[in-house]
Parts: sequence; structure tokens; C-alpha cells
Amino acid sequence: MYNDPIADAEIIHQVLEGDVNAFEHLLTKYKGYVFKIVNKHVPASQAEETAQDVFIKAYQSLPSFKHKSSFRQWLAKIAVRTCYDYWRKHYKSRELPMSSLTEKHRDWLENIISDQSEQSFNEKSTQKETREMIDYALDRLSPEDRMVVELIYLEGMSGKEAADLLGWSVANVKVRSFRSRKKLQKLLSELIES
Amino acid sequence: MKITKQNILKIFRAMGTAYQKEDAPEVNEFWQMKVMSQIRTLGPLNGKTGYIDLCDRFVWRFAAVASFAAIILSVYALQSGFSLESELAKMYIENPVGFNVLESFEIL
Repeated sequence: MYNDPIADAEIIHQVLEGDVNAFEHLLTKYKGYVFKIVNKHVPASQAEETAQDVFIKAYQSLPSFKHKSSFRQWLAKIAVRTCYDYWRKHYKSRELPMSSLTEKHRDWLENIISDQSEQSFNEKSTQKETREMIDYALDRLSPEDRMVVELIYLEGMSGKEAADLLGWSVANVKVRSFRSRKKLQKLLSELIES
Repeated sequence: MKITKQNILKIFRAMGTAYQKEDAPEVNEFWQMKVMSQIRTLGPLNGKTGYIDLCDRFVWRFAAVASFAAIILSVYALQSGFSLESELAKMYIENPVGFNVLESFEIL
């Protein structure tokens, strides 16, 4: 249903011919997909505005869509890059609570490290604690490092896939992924020791 | 307790599992109306952005070549002793009538 390139190509052609309302078909079809991407990368309160920016950029950039990839993939790139732009604008003004983690979070970390079976720690940890740990870690990274950690370590993409989505070189992505892993290693070690 | 590379990857895997399990949010029904309203104010795409795209393709592609050619020509001009005054004097001597016509149009 999602990947119907012929239907998408027809709608894109109509939009490029001047039929603005035809764009709503693409909006209806892909809004869920875009929201899923955006919701992972920006705070929930900013998801609607960011998703709106994604579709406006997609509309404005439609003449440059060359059908080399599917519209869905092209839209995913715009969505990821818009999320990166959000963090570049808001990085300096983000709130960083001094002590946002509790004993519960330290225990969570220790359980993960010491547990032999991955399945058992998935059962033990709550969604809330895990999300809080993710936010704690990502808030301490630059926008660039944050995007790389999210795409590679949390979403499981390869360096090449992440580089393609972000529009960066593979070398840049690999260097950032190495450095940000080291940074988080140090940060979380200090958290356990404190 | 120092966290090793294996430990951090384990932590990332645990975070990744939770990260990917998160439910897709519900989209506000008015959100779509708001987006389309914004897009309608931008107007239709036919024609106008095509020129910008065309410009982008040709101008920027040749910008590097044009800059390189400008540098080469500048170096050649400096090395060959080119001088604007002597060139103007040469033009006047060779074609004084034509030179005056140009002056009358305030081109020189």
C-alpha cells in the first residue's frame, strides 16, 4: 500500500502541473510514516510542527524529486534532516536538568550490564525508565552526534544508510558514531560510579 | 564501575528495543487541514520553481569551472604584463574615430 510508485508518480505529476490540492493525497498517505520518524527524533510537543515543516519542504522541493528512489525514501530524508535542523536551532536553549536520574536508573544500567540474557532485561525494564535513559544520554550530545546515535545505535541502520538519510559522507558518520559511543561510555560510567 | 565497549553496545541494544517499540502517535485531525492551508498559500508549482531548478543545475555546475578560468586568466594577465592604460592607448591610436564615438556614448 505504501510503496505504489506509479500512483505516487501520477500525483506528483499533477502537483507539478499546478494542482495544489492533489498534494493532499500524498499528505494523507504518508503523514503516519512521517510522524513515526519525527516522533522518534524530536520532543512530542514539537512533533506536529516539525511534521508540518517536513511536508512544506517536500512540497517546495517536489520539482527536484528525480524518481531515483521512491517518494517514501525521499520523504524520509527530508523528515530526518528536518529533525536535525530542529536540534540545531534548539540545541543551545534545551533544558538540561542537573540531576534527572535516580537510583532506579542506575539500577537499570547495572542490570543491563550484568545480565547475561538480553530477553530478561527487556522484560525487566519499563518503557518509561528506558525512555528517560535515552533522553538523558541524547540531551548531552551535539545535534550531529545525536542524529548519528539515534539512526545507528537505536534504529540499527548502517553507516551508509544513516549517511544517505542525513546527506553526509560515510566517513563523517563513522567518525561521529565512534566519538559519540566513547562519550556516552564515559558519561554512563561516571553515572554508575557517582 | 567502568563501562566497556561491549557494555555500551548492550545498553544501546536495550535502548533500541524500547525506542523502536514506541507507538506511532495519533495525528490531530486539524493538523492536516492546517498543513494544506499553508501549502495553498505557497501557490502552484507549475513553471516558476522550474526556472530556479534549471538555474541551480547550470549555474552552480559551471561556477567552479568559471572560477578556475578566472584565476588562470588573472595569472596570465599579470605575468604577460597586461596593462589597461596601454591597451586603451593602443585602441585610440589604431582607431581614433571609433574611440571618439564610444566616448560620445559615455561608454569610456
